[in-house]
Amino acid sequence: MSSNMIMLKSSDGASFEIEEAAARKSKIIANMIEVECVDEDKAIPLQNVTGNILALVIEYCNKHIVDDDDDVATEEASEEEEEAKKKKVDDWEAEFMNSMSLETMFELLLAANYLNIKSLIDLVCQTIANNIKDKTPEEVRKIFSIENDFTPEEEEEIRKENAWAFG
Amino acid sequence: MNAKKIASCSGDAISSLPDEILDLILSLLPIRLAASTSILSKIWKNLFPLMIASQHHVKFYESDFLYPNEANKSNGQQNFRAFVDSTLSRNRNPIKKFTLKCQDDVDHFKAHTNQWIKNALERGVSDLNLRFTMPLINKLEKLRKCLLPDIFFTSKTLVKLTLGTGICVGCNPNIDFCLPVLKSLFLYTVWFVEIDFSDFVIRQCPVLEELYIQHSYIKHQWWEGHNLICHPNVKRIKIHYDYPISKRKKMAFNTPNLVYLDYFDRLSNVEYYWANFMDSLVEARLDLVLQYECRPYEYENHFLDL
Repeated sequence: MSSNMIMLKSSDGASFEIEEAAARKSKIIANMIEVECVDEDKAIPLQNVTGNILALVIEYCNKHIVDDDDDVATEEASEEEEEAKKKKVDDWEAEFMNSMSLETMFELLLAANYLNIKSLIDLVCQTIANNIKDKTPEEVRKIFSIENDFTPEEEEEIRKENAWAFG
Repeated sequence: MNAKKIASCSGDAISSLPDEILDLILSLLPIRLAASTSILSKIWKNLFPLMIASQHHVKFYESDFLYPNEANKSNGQQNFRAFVDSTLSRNRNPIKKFTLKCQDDVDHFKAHTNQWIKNALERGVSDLNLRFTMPLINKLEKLRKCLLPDIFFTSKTLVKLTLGTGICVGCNPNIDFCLPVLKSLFLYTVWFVEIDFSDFVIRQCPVLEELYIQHSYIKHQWWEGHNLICHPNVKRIKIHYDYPISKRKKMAFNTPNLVYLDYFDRLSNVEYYWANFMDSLVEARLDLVLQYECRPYEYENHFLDL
């Protein structure tokens, strides 16, 4: 495992040191490292990510880089061990997502999208989907502050068109 | 796009997410709920149709509509059928993978299901997964109504075909059927009507590599099993005949390029076993249960050589 450290700099000027292996979870940063446009002495500026969000991203990457290494080392691991490990990661992810507000979640999602971290995008999207599940459209609007910009007639029209979804 | 800006200037952060992200969130929702988001606002109205249009894998699961309102089954069934109809008619894009899981009946099959399958095949589907159960039919006349569409037997795009569970496959006898690029065939308790299975596999699927047959016992539906598996190219075969007792008296494999065999069977009164794959076989899993009438030495000659 590479123990090279690299520096990341958030849009509001905060600097973070992160292991290269963890930073490579981001395809964007991995690409930058690949084409050697990372200067060892200089931090990589991430203009679209604030410090508090970047801290969360780094927490996620650090957690998952360890897991990836384990996978390689214990190829022969038994099914139970695999399951226990998966459960540990799932529990960690559940707690991680649970600890943040919806607003933070959206910011984290945009950051994950910008940095191109597929597994984090999937995790946040799944959490948002779970938040919508079992809710009526009215409840969903309320949770996400979505303004209903339809006239009652337009809304009725859509309900009719997709009657199978509302029946 | 500036994350901070969005969160602070608008309460509606979710609608400001990029389309591909909203698309991903929708795809993680149960289909009815995903569709019902069209009513949230004007931005959301177009997302569901877009998601459906961009799907490479078109999935229709009736269970999404039957549960949790099990009490109102016919309503759920109706909604499911309206959903499939509207989705297939709205979208004309090519389909790569098509999955249909539902319970069906003869009349509906003839009038609708058949059209759905035809629609998918006309759009060049390469991976077709049809899993429907039908009340089993004993009368041939009725069975003819349940024939799969002609295009099913002449598709030039089908690479993987999965059929089940408990269905009869029939073919218009006048069709010159051929699946020239089919590589994988998975059959889960499928009866063939007016088709000779062995013939179907060897002549109609010239590049077949993988064959999986799982056949479970269903009360009052006797089945002989396919007792001749014959193909020059097939490499992997998995056969599980899960019958309390088999009346089959012969089983033959003429598959000179077979690499992997997984075979489970309950046998009795075996008269004839023959296997042509000894030169190519690398891995085999055999689970053969001998019934009381059976004389074990019958296998010894043929299978214990392995």
